[in-house]
Amino acid sequence: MHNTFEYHIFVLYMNTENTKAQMRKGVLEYCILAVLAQDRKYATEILIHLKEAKMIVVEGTLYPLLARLKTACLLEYEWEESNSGPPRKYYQITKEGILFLKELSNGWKELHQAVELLTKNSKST
Amino acid sequence: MNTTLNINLGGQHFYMDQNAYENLDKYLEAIKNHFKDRALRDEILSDIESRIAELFSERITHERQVITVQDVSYVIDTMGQPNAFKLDSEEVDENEESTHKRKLFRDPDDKIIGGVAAGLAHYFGLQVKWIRLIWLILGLFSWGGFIIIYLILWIILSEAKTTAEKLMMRGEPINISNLEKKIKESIEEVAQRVKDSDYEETGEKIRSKTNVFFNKIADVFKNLFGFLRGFLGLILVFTSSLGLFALLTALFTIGLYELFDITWGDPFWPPLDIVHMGIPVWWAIVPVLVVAAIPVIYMLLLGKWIINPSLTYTLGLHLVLLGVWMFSILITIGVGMRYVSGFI
Repeated sequence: MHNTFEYHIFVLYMNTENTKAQMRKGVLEYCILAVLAQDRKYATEILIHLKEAKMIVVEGTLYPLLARLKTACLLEYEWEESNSGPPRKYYQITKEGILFLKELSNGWKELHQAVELLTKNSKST
Repeated sequence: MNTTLNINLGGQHFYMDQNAYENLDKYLEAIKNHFKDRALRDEILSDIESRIAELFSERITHERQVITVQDVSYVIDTMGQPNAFKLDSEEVDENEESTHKRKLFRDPDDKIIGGVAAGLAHYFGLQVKWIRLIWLILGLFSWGGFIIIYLILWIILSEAKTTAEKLMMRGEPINISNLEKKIKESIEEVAQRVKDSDYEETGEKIRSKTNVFFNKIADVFKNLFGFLRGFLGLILVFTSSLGLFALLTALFTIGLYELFDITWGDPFWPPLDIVHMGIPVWWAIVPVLVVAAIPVIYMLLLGKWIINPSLTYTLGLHLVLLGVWMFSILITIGVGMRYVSGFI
């Protein structure tokens, strides 16, 4: 019953979606640091950036990452009053965070080049 | 009629529908169960609560508007299910596995007396009628002795009242989608009952009579097989439990003798003669009991497996049991050799 062509396509689609989600997850920390490198932001602003770029699908993903980056001392936050609603947590990148971001940025470039090279090679052959 | 609650979420006040509040509470609880590290968890939870408060205030037009179930569903869709947050192995939750395990409850939805039989049926994955039949047979054969066991079970088992408990009783994992499904099911059930009377009538007409006949036969065989399997399994579990109990009693009795230093005076019981050879009684008795107990434990495991074939036992368990068994046999042989050599 499941041996139809459509079913195979469906399974393939599900797998690629899963792989893509895994890929996004892997670079999410890098993206959060990159977003915060420009200036300090509170969680919802970070969310807007990430959602615009389609880096995250569900918002809940962000909070464990922020908490982890903060525990790793790559981020810090301060509370600030807002003119609408309760005070907000503004996140800011630390010195260590900037260094880490540079490392990640290099890593990303290398990875990108490697993937480019491999996909080009396989195309030409 | 519905109660409205006044809640504080992320430092903001909201009016919430009772049902909406319950859904949100379950969702937050699910997130909470997902993170092991306490400090990290509290931080994540308070951040998520603030964001949910923000989303709520975007959705309501004035301050006194009541948050509904739809608002909560929207928020849960936006935030996503907790298992999507999982970063990597460090937050793999151990809860998930334990919630898959079944728990023994009394089932109030399918009861004749106290719901004990229905609860047992869920636990062993059998149809409730076979459990009832077994109760009846055991009750008759034991001249009513099993009625006392039934009463004890009735007293010590708690009733599955909440949806979470009912899921646990059936061995389904407790997560938001399952809870939602269960709640929806119970609502739809009422509506379906009204419809069903119509459907069944037309259904009977369409189905040909032979088809019905063969289905019945297949059903009978399936049920018979399930019953035999369950019966065999229950007998195995029951007898092996009794066996283990007997062995434990033996150990306990010997232990009492040892403890109070009652002299092993009776020379007509050879096994205890070893005392006179200077071997401690423990060395002779415990390995013998273990040698006897491990096959009984296997019978118990087998019985449980027959009842529920989806159970798997780890290789480690087998190896440990086998190892202990071999070791006990060796000691028993050693003690026996010394005992025998005393005669030569």
